[in-house]
Amino acid sequence: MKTLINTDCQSNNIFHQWEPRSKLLAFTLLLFSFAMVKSIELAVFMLVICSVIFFLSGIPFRNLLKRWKIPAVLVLVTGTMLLFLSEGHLLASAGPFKITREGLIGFTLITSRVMSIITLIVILFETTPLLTIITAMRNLGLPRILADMTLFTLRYLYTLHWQLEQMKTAMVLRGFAGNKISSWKEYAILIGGIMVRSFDQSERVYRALAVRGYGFEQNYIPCMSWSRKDKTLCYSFAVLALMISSIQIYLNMPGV
Amino acid sequence: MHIPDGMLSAGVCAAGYGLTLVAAGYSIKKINQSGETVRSIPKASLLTAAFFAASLIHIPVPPTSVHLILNGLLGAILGYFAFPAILVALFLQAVMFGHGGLTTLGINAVIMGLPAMVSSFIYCRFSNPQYNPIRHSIVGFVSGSIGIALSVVLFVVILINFIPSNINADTEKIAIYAGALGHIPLVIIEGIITALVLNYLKQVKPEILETKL
Repeated sequence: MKTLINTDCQSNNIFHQWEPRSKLLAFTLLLFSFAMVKSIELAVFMLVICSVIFFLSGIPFRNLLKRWKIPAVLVLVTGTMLLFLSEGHLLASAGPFKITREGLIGFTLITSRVMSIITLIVILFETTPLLTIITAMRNLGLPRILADMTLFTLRYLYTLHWQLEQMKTAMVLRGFAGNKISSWKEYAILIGGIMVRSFDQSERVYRALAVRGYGFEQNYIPCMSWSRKDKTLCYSFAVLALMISSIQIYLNMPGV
Repeated sequence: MHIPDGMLSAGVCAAGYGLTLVAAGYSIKKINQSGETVRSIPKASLLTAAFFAASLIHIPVPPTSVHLILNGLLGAILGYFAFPAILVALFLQAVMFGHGGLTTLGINAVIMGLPAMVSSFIYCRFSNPQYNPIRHSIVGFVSGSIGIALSVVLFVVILINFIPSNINADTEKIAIYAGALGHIPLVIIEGIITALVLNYLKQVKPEILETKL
């Protein structure tokens, strides 16, 4: 279970120095404006913006490639279906397969949107530690239950995964092969076992937290102030997002 | 079974977030009404982490293997915490492992979370406090199967209907049926594993199933 986030966030460029709340807001706006893109011209503009932001962030290209690989299969299957099974103006055909203009546009749009949005997510999460982002989300109004659950889950995810691996190793050492349908019961016991362990551990965690005052805090986290640079960056992203959305809404209007 | 970023239009993503807001708001309201919110958060979180880890186990289905979703089991154990737990797990999966996405987080939460809430209702409604292994197994199987079956239906329908395309209607129907039929073995396996895990917990640690989280 290896995370794709590169936690080495030490750098001096503008994205690393950007205040997390305004950065999160700005990136969210831009992400959703990218999701709105349905025209090829805007898709090209979106890719250009993405490339510029990525270049400025200073993140190694191999980190981006790792992320692009994950949804590649689903995107390629869907894109290929769009490319070969869409109806419309015929561009080329070979046997039962035909490529239409609409299919080609659909394929290009999906691929460029996936690539652009993933690029923005990589920039956001590789220039800000995950804990800082969760704190910023809490500051922006994320309910306490969700914020605390995210932090606890993150904290114990690797611990419990490690325990599960240990339990599995112990089973294998005692002769468990685990490659037949008859081994489903053992797998169910393994899953049940990790549930029991996590439940017992949660009691200890709660008691430890309670003696440290968990549940009685007045201020969850201090709010950080926005500098002029943060505001400028946030407004620039917001204007960019608004521009993309407005152009797309205009292009969607009948008769345009 | 996660829809990645960029596959769906902004309108569908926004609708997904709207539904997620309603479902999460309802769950949080019910959790707060229990009066044990602070005590329950660590329990629900650690169980969420355990589910996250358990869903990485590959169950043998010769000649291949599958990894489970376990949203039905999660619903049966976590109750009102099921939807927030799925939301948190999907967020961490999207951010840390690149599965799913952030713009599609809402719609993915609907695909996984709403069936978990249905499973939770089925388990709470039909499981008897007095342990009867056969009845408990049947209820467990139905909870687990319904959870994944509804998720598959939602996933396939959303993917086929909301990807902007000009694919003809017949091809769409074939894709929907093929997608749904291909998951039938997974539905059965999830049902069996859910029933086995719930029976194990009922015998070994009944507090997990009886504790009102």
